[in-house]
Amino acid sequence: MKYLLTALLLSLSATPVLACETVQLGSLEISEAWSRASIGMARPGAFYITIRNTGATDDALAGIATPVSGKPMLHETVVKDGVASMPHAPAIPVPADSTVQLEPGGYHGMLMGLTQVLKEGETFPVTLKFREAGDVTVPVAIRGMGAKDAGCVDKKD
Amino acid sequence: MTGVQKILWEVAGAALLVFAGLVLMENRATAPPADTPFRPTFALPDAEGRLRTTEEFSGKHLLVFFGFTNCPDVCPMTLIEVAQVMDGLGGQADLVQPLLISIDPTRDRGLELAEYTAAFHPSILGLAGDEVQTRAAAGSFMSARTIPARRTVTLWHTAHHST
Repeated sequence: MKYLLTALLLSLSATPVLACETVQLGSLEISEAWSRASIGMARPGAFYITIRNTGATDDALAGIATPVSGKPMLHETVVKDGVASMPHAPAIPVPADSTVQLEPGGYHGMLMGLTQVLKEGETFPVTLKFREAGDVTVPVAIRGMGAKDAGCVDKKD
Repeated sequence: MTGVQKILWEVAGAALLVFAGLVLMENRATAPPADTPFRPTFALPDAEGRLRTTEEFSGKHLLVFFGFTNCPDVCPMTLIEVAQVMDGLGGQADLVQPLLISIDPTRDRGLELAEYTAAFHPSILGLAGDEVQTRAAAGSFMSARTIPARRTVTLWHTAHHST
């Protein structure tokens, strides 16, 4: 696994198909990590992912880290009475035997302070920090600005 | 807090901020129903600094989105929706002018606003005025909140996320 992580960290040009592969961390199945292309580096990027907890223990995504962002944060888009707000989420619960999606309009990573332009077709690594399962680094596929999902053919629930 | 952020929070506090959403505005060529008090107006510069006003789009339906480009999740989603609407209109797309009115105008002016909107759909026109112009435009659209049955999505500008 260490070898794999190192390889991922070193490679910013892995093929997009990696985002559709599932990374296993204990009882967590992690897939569909994607982001959108950016124009320059002045605006924050978004980060989305699917986490499936097949175990019997509740977990939580407590934070993310990535070399492409000086300040990556977890947020949640909440729409109430027609007003959308995006409060900071200290941690995103990943309950036992359930699937949590960071997806447009819901939980998402906000990649503040981009250190590089996010180019469509490339990937970048994001390290997920789970309270129970620990850390794992996954490749994130950069999709077009108009993308709404990871674009995987066999989308998992 | 920067001056911009202060202004934005003032706007937010004063008017529930912004409503980002999609407001399909009746064009001025058709007489609005007598019971419709919704008469939004704006006079705002585009990315090239040209002043664009409500009158210019007379005869067209305006699809208006109050937002800003520095938000990674809900703003792209809305612009993607706008792009889908425009594509879906096919030959009738000429009758609709989608507008992104920036509520973070100072920053958006320096962030290639036109390039940003074009990335979602070439028809989307980005407008970014000064504080007075933005307040005036937002204020006039705010009255839409009293009109039922219009599809609106409101955006709360989380200025504190942006340092």
